[in-house]
Amino acid sequence: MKIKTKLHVTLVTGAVLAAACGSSSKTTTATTVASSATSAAAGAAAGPAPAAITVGTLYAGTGSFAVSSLPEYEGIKFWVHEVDASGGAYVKAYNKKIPIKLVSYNDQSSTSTAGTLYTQLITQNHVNILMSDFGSVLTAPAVTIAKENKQLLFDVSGTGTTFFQASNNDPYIVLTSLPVSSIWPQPAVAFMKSVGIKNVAIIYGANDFDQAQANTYKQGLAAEGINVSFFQSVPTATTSYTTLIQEVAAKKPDAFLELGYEANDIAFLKQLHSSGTKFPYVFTVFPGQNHSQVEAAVGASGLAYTYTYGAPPALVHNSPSVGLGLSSFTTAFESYASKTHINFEDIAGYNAGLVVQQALANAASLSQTDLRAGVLSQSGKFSTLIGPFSMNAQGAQTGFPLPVAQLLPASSGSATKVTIVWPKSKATGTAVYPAP
Amino acid sequence: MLRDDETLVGEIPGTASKDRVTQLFRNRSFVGDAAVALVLIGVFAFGRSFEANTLLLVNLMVYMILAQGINVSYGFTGYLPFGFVGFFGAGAYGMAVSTSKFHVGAYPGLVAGVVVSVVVALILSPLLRLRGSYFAIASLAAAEALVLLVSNPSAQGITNGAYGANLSSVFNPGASYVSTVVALGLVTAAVVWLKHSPFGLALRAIKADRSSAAMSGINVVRVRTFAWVISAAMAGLGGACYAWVISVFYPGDVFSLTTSVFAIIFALFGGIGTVVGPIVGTVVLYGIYNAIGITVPQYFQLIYGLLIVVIVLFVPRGLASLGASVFGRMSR
Amino acid sequence: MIPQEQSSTAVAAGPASTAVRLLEVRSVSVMFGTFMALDDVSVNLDGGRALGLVGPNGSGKTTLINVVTGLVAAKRGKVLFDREDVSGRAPHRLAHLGINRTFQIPKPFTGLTVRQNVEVAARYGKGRRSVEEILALTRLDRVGSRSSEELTAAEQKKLDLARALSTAPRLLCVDELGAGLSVSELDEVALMLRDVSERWGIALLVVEHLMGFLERVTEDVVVLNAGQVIFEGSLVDALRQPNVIQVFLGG
Repeated sequence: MKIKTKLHVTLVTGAVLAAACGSSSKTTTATTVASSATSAAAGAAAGPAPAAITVGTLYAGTGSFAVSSLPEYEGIKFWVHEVDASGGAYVKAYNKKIPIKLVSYNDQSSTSTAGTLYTQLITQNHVNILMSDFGSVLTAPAVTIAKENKQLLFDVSGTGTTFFQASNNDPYIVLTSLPVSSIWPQPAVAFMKSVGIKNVAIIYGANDFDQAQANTYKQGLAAEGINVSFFQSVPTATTSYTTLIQEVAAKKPDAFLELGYEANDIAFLKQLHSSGTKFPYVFTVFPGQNHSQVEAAVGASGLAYTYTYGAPPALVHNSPSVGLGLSSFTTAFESYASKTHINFEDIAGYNAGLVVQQALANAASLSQTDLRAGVLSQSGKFSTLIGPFSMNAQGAQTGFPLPVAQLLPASSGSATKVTIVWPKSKATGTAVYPAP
Repeated sequence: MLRDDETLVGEIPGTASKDRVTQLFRNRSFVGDAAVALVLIGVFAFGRSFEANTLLLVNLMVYMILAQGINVSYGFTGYLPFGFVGFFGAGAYGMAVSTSKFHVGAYPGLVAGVVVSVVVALILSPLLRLRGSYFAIASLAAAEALVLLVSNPSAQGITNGAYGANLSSVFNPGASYVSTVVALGLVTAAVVWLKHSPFGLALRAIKADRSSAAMSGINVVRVRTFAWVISAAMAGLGGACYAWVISVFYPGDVFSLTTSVFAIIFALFGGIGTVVGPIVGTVVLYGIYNAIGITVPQYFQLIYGLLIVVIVLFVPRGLASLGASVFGRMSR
Repeated sequence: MIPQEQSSTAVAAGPASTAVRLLEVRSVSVMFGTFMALDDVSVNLDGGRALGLVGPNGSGKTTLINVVTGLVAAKRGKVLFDREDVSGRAPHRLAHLGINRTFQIPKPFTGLTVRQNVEVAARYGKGRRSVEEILALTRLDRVGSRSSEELTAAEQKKLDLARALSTAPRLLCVDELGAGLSVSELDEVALMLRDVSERWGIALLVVEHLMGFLERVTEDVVVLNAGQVIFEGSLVDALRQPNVIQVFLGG
């Protein structure tokens, strides 16, 4: 019995020690960047300028989000590289250029780990700027933590519907690189009306991103008097669409929309192609954002004549008011990251950096509320390689409209090309409707 | 409810309850376990003054709660529920739905979280008829079914479906932290009680042999269902606290299989059937997880994987057993 | 008093006028798939008396005990205890009524100490005797604080017996308690059984291969073969019956 008591005491002591060691080891790794940043966060314009502006972010090195998170992270790193090469970012509060220092952790696609690491960035590293990881799921924990710590969250691509409700009364979030997904389908609805589509089938993943689009489609199409004869959600993990395709074929719709994540879109397009079933208009989400990868998986014949959202790099903005234009970005980024194909996530990460730069250049101090005011003051006043930047009072991105694109066979015949077909003002080609 | 001949906690003939309490405090092992619980509460109550990353502390506490839940289910009754996270998610959604749709306060919301997970546990209790891996897999399927139910667009009016939960109406960092500490205290106290009560003895008897337990007069079905419900209530409480702290989450976050796996590994590593095992297991493994996750993320999977292999090979009964045998040798 | 049973039923009753019918197994049949484990078996036992169940392996002895203690359900027939139909009741309810058993392979609660093993049964089985008394009686008092898996095979058998006795049974089914014991241990356990049976008025239903053990506990036996009762009467008579001898030599 005596032994047991001793055991308990020792184990508890050990536990406390382990906890203490854990925290101290973390602090040592963080001190190098924390020392300069603490004063900046506290003092702003009052004190001397900090040696560096610390930017903290997370990336998913492994797990289900790695494929999208890593390119976005590359884009952010590239932005830091570019800024520091030019002597730093202009900070209005000190009226001078200050170098950017990036602190980043790997959340391994886990939300609870991400939560701990976001807190780490704020409370231990005292970052001046907090940027979230890719997508809504990994951004979600940051929303609360940022609010709790009164730290502005630069949400790169988390378009989560609940993040930007007016009822949240949350002044600590801005969405930098994507419009909220609920406004994505607006140009597509207009295009479908223009070609005379009457009957539409929609299947979508049961997740925030896809469901928000599906509901916008449903309402938008109804407002235009277009019938939605099939509207069904599938679990996000679904990769089998064969029976659904048969069911939809029986309804003989003019248009068949599949709204999913990249893996869903690839599976759907492959199975649609091998089923031999044809629809005049087939729409999926990701071929426009990540063309080379989707085409490698689906094949050019499976992609041909389907539609998607037109996003950079297919959507070309070569003379933005801030940052690099698309073609100079492509050249510089490809040599920086040793890549041959850039995709939308690379651009989104870079674009988020440009928005941070606008915040620094226009905020009266480095306080988080001033940073937000700095961003909001620029709504509608600048454009980047994605397009014109616009933000509502809840911090949601309302600029960067995504046009409709069609994957038309390239002249060589063995590949497809993302061709913008709507709106007319941005079109780079003419739609082939119905698909042959 | 209980028939005359069916009690959950029997009486030893000829012992008054007062005697039993005195007897309990004479038991060094009980005093040790009670001390562990108190120290634990103390550490976390003042935790925020030595660790600024409160979410790290919350995650630690939540994993301790879950590991203790696994401890009750597996350590005391021998059922290993891979889908244990289902109760965690049920608790989180009980909290989210009651506060954001029915506008109850945060504290009734925590109770609602526990109630929801208990109801789920009762609905799933027929699964206890399955044994071993069949049970583990069936519980996993049940958790999967739950997440599909919650994220289904038809359930959107209640759960907000795939759009996830947002508890901004009750958001309160201070109170939610304190509640998590209290929750951990309650859960640890419950495990201390289980270990030292006749009820806990009955559970361990059932785990060792069902037929012998039944012939000892133990109502096997009732007792193990009650333990299952206690275990689920723990996970539900943990889920409700986590939901309150994190406030914004998606169905996939609170029903993530990784959560189950972590809780199971932490409990097994520390040693099941003990009070201190799951606590130590969580502190050490989650501590290492965070330390290497932050310092050398590139080697994370390698180090963590090796560690687990080592545990399974060399310390199959957990750290607590290792500690006990070391002290055993030293005292000889 | 007690209605006279038909002649084919085994009755273990001494002076019939003083004993009270405790257990009545009425035409019980048990099927495992297509295998008939028990075929229309009837057995009676009076309070405080002992009855041996013998027969070759697979003749249905353990199955009969399993039916009586609620671990196996009978396809046909009834089990009456104290003239009350208890067929199909859960084992723990039967334990509360006063039916208990030991197992052919003892199943102590591993991870619990010997004392805790007995304690849990005393508590949940609503026994009236103290844990210490039971431990002393079964000579386990010296190993009370040991973990039950550290016991020798003989001690585990005694622990199983102690666990059963601590629920204050009126009927104790004993399944091959003698197997694997040394001669001196056999003597000790047999004496123990007779002692509790006489002192506490416990009726015994004893499954046993070892005739030497059996004859120390009871003189009355029922012989089972292939799920059927082929003989009932005294052990001495049984061993003179040609069909009984053939069953045993053949098996």
